[in-house]
Amino acid sequence: MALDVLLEAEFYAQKKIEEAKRKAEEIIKNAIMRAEEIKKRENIEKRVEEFIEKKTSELKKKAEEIRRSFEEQIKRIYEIPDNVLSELAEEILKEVIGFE
Amino acid sequence: MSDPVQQILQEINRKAEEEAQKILDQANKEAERIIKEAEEFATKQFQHEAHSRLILLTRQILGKAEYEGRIRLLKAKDEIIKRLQQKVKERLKKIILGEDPGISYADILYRLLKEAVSNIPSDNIIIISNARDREILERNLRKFEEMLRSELGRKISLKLSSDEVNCLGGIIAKSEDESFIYYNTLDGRLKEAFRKLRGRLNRLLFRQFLKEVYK
Repeated sequence: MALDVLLEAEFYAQKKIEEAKRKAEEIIKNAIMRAEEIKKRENIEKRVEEFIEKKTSELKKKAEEIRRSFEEQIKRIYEIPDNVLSELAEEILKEVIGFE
Repeated sequence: MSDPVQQILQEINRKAEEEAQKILDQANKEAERIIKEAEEFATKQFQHEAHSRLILLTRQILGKAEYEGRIRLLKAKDEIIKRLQQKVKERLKKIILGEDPGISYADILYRLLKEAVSNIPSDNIIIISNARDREILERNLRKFEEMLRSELGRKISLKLSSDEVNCLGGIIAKSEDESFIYYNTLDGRLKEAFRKLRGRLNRLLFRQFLKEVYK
């Protein structure tokens, strides 16, 4: 009687371990599938495209700042007063005609 | 059921549970490793591609903006320098035409001549100029010769060349044997003055007016 009980317990224990092994195989199989998906070229390219898209918009904003900064400098150059140019012209004139 | 049998049953069950859990733990650990490895691979691939594309993109977008801005800035500076050159030329023309009562153009010609003669180690000097300056030089040739002799302490002899030079004003002087030539035209001096003053002009004109931008 006791032997039957023990054999039955052993049978269920073995079944439990077999079930765990089956589950483990499933876990590994899923992980491999997931890994394949992660390594897929299209997925990496998609990530790169998304990143580049984001960076492009950031860089365009920066480029706009650079353009604005140059515009500001150019505007200031054109705003140089005429009297400043005339004073410098006199200085250069002295140099040209040899009078100090 | 007797107690010892019950104990054995419990032990079998416990060991089976333990073994099953161990198998699942190992599988989970292995799965984590597989995914982590895949993620590392993907991240490396991503970084490699994203980095090289980002460098290219930065060059394209920022480089273009910087380049275009610099070209436009240079054009603006160039326009101001041209305006300045125009102003100097206009003033020079007034002086040459005798429209500036404060400055005698004949005096300027003499100064240019003196500088040229001082730099030529020969006493027989031939002078080339434009037609208008030639007239002034002709009128003053003997006077200038005397002045040069007295100021330089040399027996200077001046001759006007029949050749003419197309320039704003000033002279080209040469020794009779043409082994020494000194260019002292106003055009040349104007060019030289701008070359010499380029750094200063840049500082005076542009840095001063641009410094607020960089604050």
